[in-house]
Amino acid sequence: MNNFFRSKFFIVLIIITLLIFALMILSTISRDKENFAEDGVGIVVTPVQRFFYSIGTSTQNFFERFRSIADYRQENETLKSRVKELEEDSRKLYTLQNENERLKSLLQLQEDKAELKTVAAKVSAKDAGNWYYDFTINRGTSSGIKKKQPVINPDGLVGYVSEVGTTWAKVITIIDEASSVGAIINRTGDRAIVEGNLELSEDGTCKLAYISKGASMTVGDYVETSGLGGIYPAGLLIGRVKNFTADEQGLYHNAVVETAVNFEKIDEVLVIID
Amino acid sequence: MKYTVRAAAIIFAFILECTWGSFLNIQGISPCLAFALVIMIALESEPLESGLLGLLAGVLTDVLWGRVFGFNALLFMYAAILISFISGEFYKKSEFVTVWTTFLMTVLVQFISYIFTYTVWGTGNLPYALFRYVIPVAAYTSVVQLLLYKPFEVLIAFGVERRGRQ
Repeated sequence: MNNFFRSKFFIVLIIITLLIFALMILSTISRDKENFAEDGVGIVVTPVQRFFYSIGTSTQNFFERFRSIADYRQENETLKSRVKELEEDSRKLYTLQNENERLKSLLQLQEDKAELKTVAAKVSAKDAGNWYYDFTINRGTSSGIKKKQPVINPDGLVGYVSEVGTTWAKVITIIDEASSVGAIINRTGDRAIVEGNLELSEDGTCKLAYISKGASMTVGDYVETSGLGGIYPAGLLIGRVKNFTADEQGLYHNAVVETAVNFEKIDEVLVIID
Repeated sequence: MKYTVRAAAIIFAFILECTWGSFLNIQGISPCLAFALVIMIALESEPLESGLLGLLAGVLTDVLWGRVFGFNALLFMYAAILISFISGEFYKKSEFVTVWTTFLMTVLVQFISYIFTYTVWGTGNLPYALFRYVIPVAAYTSVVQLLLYKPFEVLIAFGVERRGRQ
């Protein structure tokens, strides 16, 4: 054993360990951009990731064509009944649309909605680890992206930029346990915090915490960003209240939010840079 | 040659893991391909070599998914060195030993990752994490290790045979 502690291997091991500890400390200190090594590897790996990811998508699409005829028949029946429902919905929507347009033109006069400056990005890789709900995009500081900028897609709020390199950035989604978003219930104006939760994240849902006792939300209410917290602007759709349980004994009520974004199928996003 | 082939194999396994990993995903669980390969190499290599290859796999993981750069690098490196030291004393080459080592080491590494990701910050739910993530990930990785045992074996032997012929 004494020989081991005097061996070159042991000395090399200690040096590597100390070096990595130094890097760990450096990486925990807040920076605007990742260190040279992280950025360099990210620049090289991102296009390769994108290449393999697109091959994966193509392969999946190819095999999906071979689904059985029975599946298609059943799908056809389902779709026919769905078409009938949609035709009825469409008629109702036409009426609502007319009403909506009238109300919108009135609201337009009152609203002073700031234009958001955004950068479009493609997902180059999704988290292969099992603990986080993150992904990497193919845009970075060269496109004006900075840390803590909100990320959205056409469905709603996706998350925020957690790390950024020259041509890549990592995005932490709102269902990740590291995420917390100031929220407001669209209908009632009640405020709360949307938090990622390990157990809920697998269903694409989040926890709606710190709901005051006087809140009067119901299932189906829309949840939007409140603008508090400094990362997200107000008015971005987060999702809808999935269930709400009044906690008579605690200080606050809790609820579950079904996110508007389907985190299993994110391919393109917009980063709000201004 | 041997080191180049093994390092390239780990990089390739890692790229597959972080691109096609989502297609291998079953109920939110993905196998740790690069780590499985590191274990297989560590079982048959000297501690220095397996430590360096473990370090490579860990650095790649840190660069793309790590919250604190260096955490996975240290974890993978020491896991690989530990396997090499133990296997140097007791290892008898077999699929059975490889798969069980993969299972146990993946449980250990995932468990440590969980502790440092959640428990030290006072969050998380240990029994849930253990039965929903740690053990299923280890089991899935072990099954993948069993399926890839032969290809991995050929890959690991490749550089050695080439050097023998020269």
